[in-house]
Amino acid sequence: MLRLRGSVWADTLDHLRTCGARRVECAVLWTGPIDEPGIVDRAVHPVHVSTRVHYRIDQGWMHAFHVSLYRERRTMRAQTHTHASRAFHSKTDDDWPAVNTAGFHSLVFPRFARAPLRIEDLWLAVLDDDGEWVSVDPGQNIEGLP
Amino acid sequence: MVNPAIETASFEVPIIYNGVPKEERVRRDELIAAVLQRALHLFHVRDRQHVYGLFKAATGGSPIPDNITVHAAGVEKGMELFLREKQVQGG
Repeated sequence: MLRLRGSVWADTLDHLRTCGARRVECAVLWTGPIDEPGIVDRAVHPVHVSTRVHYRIDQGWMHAFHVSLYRERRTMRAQTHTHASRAFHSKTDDDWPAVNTAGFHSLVFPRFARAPLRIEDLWLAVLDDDGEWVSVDPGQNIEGLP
Repeated sequence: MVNPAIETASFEVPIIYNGVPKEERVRRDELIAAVLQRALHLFHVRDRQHVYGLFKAATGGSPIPDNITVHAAGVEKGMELFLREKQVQGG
């Protein structure tokens, strides 16, 4: 269970919609304190390149981000990104996530996260102990959704 | 009394993944590839292991080459090594 705090949801939508206004994919990383399991209190917009069907996070930015997570005793709990049409996990999404350990979540938004957005149109999965993505209900697994 | 030869031949470094540090003992003469494999095991990374590398804090853009020794890589006692994916993408 992920527990959203503060303005995480609003910040996520703001990043995704602003970035995706050019009709390209966007990503936002959800982080929280290591000592508070499940808590997500920050939505981080990474430096990335993207097209209508793909995004790739800048590796220099990613390294600095990993260092800052360590220094601040924080951890990534989920990645979010948008698709142009419906939300699902592609092979690329399966194979190249930001974190590859059990418990990490991946949330996909349809239509570049444009309004109106229905929770039932989101796609959420969590990595299991075998490294497989298991699809789960966003409404049952994320506390703090509107 | 600790054998000085053993003391300098191996030492501990913190390996950090997704913000979490864990100590690992490494040998000066072992390849980075071996350290990487142990790091993956340490953090229970079972799948997609080929996308991982070890990175120094100061030179984060490129991973430490797998085929050189700990000593040749300039890794020293207490040096923070970051285990992370070499590529993050989707679509």
